[in-house]
Amino acid sequence: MNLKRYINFTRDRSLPIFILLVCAMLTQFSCRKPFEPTLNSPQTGYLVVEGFINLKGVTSIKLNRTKKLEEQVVYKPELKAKVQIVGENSTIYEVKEKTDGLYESETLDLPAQKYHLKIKTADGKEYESKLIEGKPTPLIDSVSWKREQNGVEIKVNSHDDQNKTKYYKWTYDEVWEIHANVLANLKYVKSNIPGTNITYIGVARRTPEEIKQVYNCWQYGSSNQILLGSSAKLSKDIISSPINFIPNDNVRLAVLYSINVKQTALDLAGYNFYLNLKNNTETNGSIFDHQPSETTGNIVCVSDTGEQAIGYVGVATIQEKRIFIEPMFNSNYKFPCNTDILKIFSNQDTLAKYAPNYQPIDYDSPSLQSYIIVDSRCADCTFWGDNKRPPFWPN
Amino acid sequence: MISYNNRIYRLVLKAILIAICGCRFICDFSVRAYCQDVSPEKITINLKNATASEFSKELEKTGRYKIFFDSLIFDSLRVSVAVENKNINDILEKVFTGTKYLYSIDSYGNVFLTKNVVISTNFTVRPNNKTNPESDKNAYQVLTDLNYKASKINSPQDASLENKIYEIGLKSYGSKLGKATISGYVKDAETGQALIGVYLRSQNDKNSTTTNEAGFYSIELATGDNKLIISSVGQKETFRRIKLYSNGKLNIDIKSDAISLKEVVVVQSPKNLQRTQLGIEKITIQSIKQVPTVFGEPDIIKVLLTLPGVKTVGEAAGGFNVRGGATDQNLILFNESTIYNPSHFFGFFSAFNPDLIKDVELYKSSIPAKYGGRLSSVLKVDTREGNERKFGGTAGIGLLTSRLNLEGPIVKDKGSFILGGRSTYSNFIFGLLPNSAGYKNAKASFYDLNLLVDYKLNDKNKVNFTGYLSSDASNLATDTVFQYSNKNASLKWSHIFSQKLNSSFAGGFDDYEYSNKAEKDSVNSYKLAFNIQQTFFKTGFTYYIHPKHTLNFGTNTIYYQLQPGSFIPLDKSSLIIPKILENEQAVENALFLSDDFTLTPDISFDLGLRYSHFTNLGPKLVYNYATGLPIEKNNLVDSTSYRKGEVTQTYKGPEIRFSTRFAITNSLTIKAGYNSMRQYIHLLTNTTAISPTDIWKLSDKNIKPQFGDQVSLGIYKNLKKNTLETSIEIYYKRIKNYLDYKSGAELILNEHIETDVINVNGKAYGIEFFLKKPSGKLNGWFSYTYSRTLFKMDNINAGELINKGNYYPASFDKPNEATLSANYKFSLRFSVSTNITYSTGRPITIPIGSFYYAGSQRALYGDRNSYRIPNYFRTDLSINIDGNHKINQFAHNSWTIGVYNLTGRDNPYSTFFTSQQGRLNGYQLSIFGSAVPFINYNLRF
Repeated sequence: MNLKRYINFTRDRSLPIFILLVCAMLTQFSCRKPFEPTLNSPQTGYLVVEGFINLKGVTSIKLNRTKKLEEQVVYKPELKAKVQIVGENSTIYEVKEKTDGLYESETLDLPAQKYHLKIKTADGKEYESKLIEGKPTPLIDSVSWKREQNGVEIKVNSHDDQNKTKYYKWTYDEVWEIHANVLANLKYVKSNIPGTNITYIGVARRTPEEIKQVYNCWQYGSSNQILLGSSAKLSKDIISSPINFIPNDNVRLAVLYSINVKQTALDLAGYNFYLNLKNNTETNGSIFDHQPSETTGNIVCVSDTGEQAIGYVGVATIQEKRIFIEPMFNSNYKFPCNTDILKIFSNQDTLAKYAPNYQPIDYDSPSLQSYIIVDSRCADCTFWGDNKRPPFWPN
Repeated sequence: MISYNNRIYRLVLKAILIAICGCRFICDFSVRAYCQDVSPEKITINLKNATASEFSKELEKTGRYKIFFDSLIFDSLRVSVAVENKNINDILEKVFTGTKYLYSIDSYGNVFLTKNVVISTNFTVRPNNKTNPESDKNAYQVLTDLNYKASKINSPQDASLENKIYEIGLKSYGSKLGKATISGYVKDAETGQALIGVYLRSQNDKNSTTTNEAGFYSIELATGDNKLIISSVGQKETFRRIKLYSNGKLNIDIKSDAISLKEVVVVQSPKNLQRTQLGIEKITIQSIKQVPTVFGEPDIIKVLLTLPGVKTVGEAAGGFNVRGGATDQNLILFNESTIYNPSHFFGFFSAFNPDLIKDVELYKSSIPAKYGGRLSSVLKVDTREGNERKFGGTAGIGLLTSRLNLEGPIVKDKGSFILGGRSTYSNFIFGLLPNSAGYKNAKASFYDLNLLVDYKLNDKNKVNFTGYLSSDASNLATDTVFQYSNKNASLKWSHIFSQKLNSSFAGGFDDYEYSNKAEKDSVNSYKLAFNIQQTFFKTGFTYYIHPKHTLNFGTNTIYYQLQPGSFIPLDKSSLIIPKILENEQAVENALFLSDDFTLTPDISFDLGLRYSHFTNLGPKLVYNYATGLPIEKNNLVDSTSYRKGEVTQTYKGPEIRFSTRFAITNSLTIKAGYNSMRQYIHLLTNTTAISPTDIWKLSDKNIKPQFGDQVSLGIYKNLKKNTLETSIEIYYKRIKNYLDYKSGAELILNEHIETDVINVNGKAYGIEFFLKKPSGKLNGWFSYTYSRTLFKMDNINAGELINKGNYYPASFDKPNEATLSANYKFSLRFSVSTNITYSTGRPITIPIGSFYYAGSQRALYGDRNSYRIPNYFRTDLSINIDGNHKINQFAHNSWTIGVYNLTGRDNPYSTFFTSQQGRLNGYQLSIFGSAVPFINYNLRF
C-alpha cells in the first residue's frame, strides 16, 4: 500500500506543482482556470445499461443516463423503457419496470441458447446487446476472512471443475449491526392533545423492546468498486480473490458484520469491459497519471447507429454466499456526538428546549423529577442506521 | 596576425620585384598602389558623403572591378568624389590621398581596400601571361622554391590567402598524371578549429567534396592550374588557387564570417541543393543565439521547435517530436555521447551550454547509415574546439542562470581545451516569493559542466575528449527531492590512413540516472532510483574510392546496463519494504556501409545499408504468457530463468537508407528518399510530458523493438543568387510496435511491465514548407507544416481496443503549425529578433460526461485524444545589443533584452478533471499566462 501511495505521489503531484510554481514565480497570476469544453454530449445523455441476463432467477437491469459534468444530480434513471430478454429462437421474456430505473423479470429458468437484451426507450430509440451464449456461474466455495494486523481481509474462493469459467466478477451487499453509545431507558412522552403547540409533556420508561429500537440498529453497504478475477493463466480454474478489507477501527467490526457475496461468470469481452472501466475510473488521479480511454461495451443503438450506449450485458447465472464476522475484541466504537451529560428538571420549557435533540437516558433522582439527557446521536441509533432487524440476522 | 603576414609577403614581393625588374608591371612604384597590366577602364562617378559600400558599388557597376574591404574598418569612411572618365587608380588616389586607407589592384580587377597596410597582388600573375613569359617563369620559380622548402619539412601547406597560388606535389611529375588527389584539413583561421561540413568544389572539374567530422577533405582534381571554391555556413565563400603536380596536402584556413562583409554579395554554399540527403536542418550557434527564448538563455531545443516538422506537447515538456515520432525516438548525440535527458528543470531549459556549441544538425528524414537505434531523428550537437592560439573565455549572466567558459591552447596550434559550466540561482528567486505562494522551502538547482579537449598528435592523428555532466535537484516545496543527472565521457581518435582513406574510432560511457528521495518523514522515507548506463565503441571509415564514389562504413557497438528501479528505505526507522527490480542488460551491434555516388554533377545517390543486431542478456527472469491471449497478469503462465550472459532474446534486421538527388537547374533540385529504422530501447511514459520518474526499457521477449520507415520527397529552389532558400518536403511514415499504454498502466517498479503496455501501429504524414534567408540584414526563416500522426490499436487479442480500433491522433498531433523566426540587423551592433508561433491545440482525452455504474459515479471518457485544447499562439521579441567591436579591448560584451509571450496570451498547457463536492470539475493549466520579460548579459574575453 505504502509503495503505491508514494509512487503515485511522485508522479501525480510533481508536474502540477511545478507548473504552479513557475506561474507563481513569473506572474503572480493563477495559471489554473476553469476549463469548460464544448462537448457534443447529448442533452438526454447516453443510455447506460447495467446488469446481466440471469439464466436461473430474476434478471435485474438498471437503466440510467449519462449526465453532463456540470449537472448536480447523481443518478438519472431511465423511466418507461420497454425491456425484453430475447432468445436466439425469438422467445421473448419481459423485464418490467419497477422503480427508479430498475427493471426486473419474473423468476425464470431459461433454456440453453443464446440471449440478448432489447430495450426500447421512451424516446423511441431501440438498443440491443450482443447475442451471446449463456455461461453458468460455478458455486462460491467459500467466503473466507482473515484478521490482518490492520483489519480484516475478506476473500472469495471458487473453482470450476470444467475449466470454463475463467473470468469472474463479484459484487457484495454488507450489513452490520450497530449499538448506540449509551442505553436509553427513557423516552419522551408526547402530548396527545391536539391544537396545542406543546409537543413533549414528560418522559417514561422504555419497554425492553423499545430500548432495542434505539439501541440495536443496522447499517448497509454495497460494493462500489469493480471486483474482477481471472484464472485464465492457471492450468486449473481455481480462484481466490480479496474483495473487501475492513480496517480495525471501522464500525463494521463493532458488533456483528455480514457480507453477502454475489458471483457471476464473465466472458472475455465482458471482463475487458469491466477491467477498462475499472482502470479508467478507479485509478485516475490526475491528467498526469494515466491517459484515460473510452468506455465501450456490447450495447448498440440499432435505431440510430450514431448514438452511443454504455454497458455490458452478459448472460450467466448468479451464485451467492453470506457469511457473518464477529469482532474478535470488544469494540469500543463510539459514534461521533456531543458527550456532555445534562441533568434537567422535568418541566415543559426545559423539554421544549432540549427535545428532540437530546434524549433522556435515565432518571437522576429517586423522585423522578430530574433526569439525565444526552445528545440524541449518542443514544438513538436510528440517527446512524435502520432499526429494522434483517430477516436473516441471528439473535 | 594579418598585418604580420602582410609584412612578410611584402618583403617577399619586393624580392621578387627586384628579381624581375624588367617586368612591365612596374609603372608606378608608389607606396600606395601597384598598377595593373591592362588598360584601365574609364569611370565616371559622382558621390557625396557616400559610405564605403556605396562607393564600392559604384565602382563595381563598371563590371570590371570587384571591391573587397572590411566594412568594420571602413564604417567611418565617407566619400565625396566627382570625376569623369578617369581610371580607377586616379579615383582611388583621389579618394584616399591624405587618409590612412590604402588600396591595391590585382590583374583580375580585384580591388583591395585596407587601412595602414597594403595587400600585395603580384602573386596572381598568370603563368600564361603572353607578354613576358620568361620573367613570369622567374617569378614562379621564386615562389616554387619557397614552397619547395616548406614541403621539405614534409608538412602540409597552410593556405590562408585567396590570391596566392599554392603548388602541390612534386614538380618533377609535371602535369603528366592528368589527375591527382589533394587532402587536408579546413580550419578556422582565427581559432584553428577544424571545420566540419565545409563544401569544396573545383572550378574546372566540377568535382566536389565535403569535410568530414574531423574537418578533413580529400578531392581528386585535374593536374595543373585549378581553383578550389570553399563554402560553408558561417563562413563567407572563398577560394584557393592551386597548381597541382601530384598527390599532396593542403590545409585551408578560412575566416569566420562573424562580421560579414555585408555589402559584398555573399554567395552561400547552395548546400541544400548539392547534398543528396533530404530532411536535414543545420543551425549554427549564431542563429540559435538570435532566437528569443524564455529567460533569454539561448536554447538549442527551443530553436529546433521553430523548424518544420518538429513539435512539442507544451512549453514545460522535455523532449521534442520529429515528424510524428515520440520523444524517445530521437537520438541526441553530444559529440559522440548519447544524452538521455537533454533538459534541465523538467524541460524548461535544454542541458546544452550554448557557448560551447558550434552547430546543431537535425536529421529528420535521411538518416546517415552510421546512425541508428532511434526511429525518428538524430540530433547532432557538435561542440567547437577551443582556441588553439590564445587563452580566452566567455561569460553570461541571466535572470535564472549564469555561465562561464574558459578555453585556450594546451600546446599552441596542436591542442586546446574548453571548460564550461552553467548553474542556476533560482533558489534565490524562491526566497523572494511571498509566503502566501507556498514556495518558501522550495529548492531548485541544476548545473552542467563540460570539458572538451582536442589534440593533434600529428597530421594523421587527432584525439578529442568530451566530458559532460548535467545534474538537477528540485524539491518543489514538497518533501520529495527529485534528482537526475547525465554523465558522459567519450574519446575519439581520428586517423588518416591515406589521402583516400580516413577513419575515426570512438569509445565512451554514457550514464543517466534519477533518484527521488523523501526524507522528511523518517517512517516513510524512501529512495526511488533508476539508472541506465551504456558503453559504446564506434568505428567509422571514409574511403574516397573513386571521384564518383565515397564509401562510408563502420561498426557500432553498445552495451546497455539498466537498473530498472529500486525502492528502498532511506534510514533505519523507515518502514518501507524494499523492492529492487532485476537488472537488464543487452548488446546492440550494427554494421553499416554507404556509398555516396555522384553519377553526374546533377544526379547523385546515397545508398546506405545498416544491419542492426540486438541481444538481450541474462541474468534475467522472463515471464511467459499464454499464447493467443492478451499479455496480462491474468494470463501469465510461468517464467524462465536465464543465467548470466545467456541470451534471452535476439532481434535483428536490415535498415535501408536511400536518397537521391536530381538537379533540374542550377537552383532547382528534386530529392527523394526511403529510410527504415529499428529501435530497441523505449522510454516508458504514459504522461503527456516527460516526468522525472519516466524510465527506459530494453526490448526483451515480451517487448518487441519498434520499426519505422519513411518515404519522402522534396523540392528545393534557391532564389536570388542562393540568398533565399525554399523547400517543400512531403513525407509518409509508418511506425510499428510503438508502445502505448493501457489505461491505468503502472510503469514504475512493475515487474510485468509488458502487461501494462500495448503495441500500436502508427502512421504519420505531412507537408513542410520552408523559406530561409540565411544572411543579410533581414535573416531568418518561416515554416509551415501540415502534418498528422495517427495510431491504431486493432488487435482484439492484445486487449481492449482503442477508439474501436480506428486511428486516433497522437498526443502531439498538431496538424497546422506555422513559425516565423526572424532577425533584423539595424547595424553591426544592434539587431532585433522575433519568433512567432501558431499551432493547433494538442489532442486530449476528457470526460464528456459521467454516469452511475457498479455502485459509483464514473467519468465518461470520449474517444482517446478526440478533443483539443485551444490553439496555441505566441510572439517573442528580443533586442541584441553588442558592445563595440574594437579588437584590442579586453572583453567584448553584449546584451539581450526581450519579452517572451509578448501578447500575454494564456496558452493552455493541459487540462485536468477533479472531483470536488461530488462534481467533476475541469481546469486548464497554462505555464506562461502573461508576458515574461528577460535580460541577459554576455561577455567574451
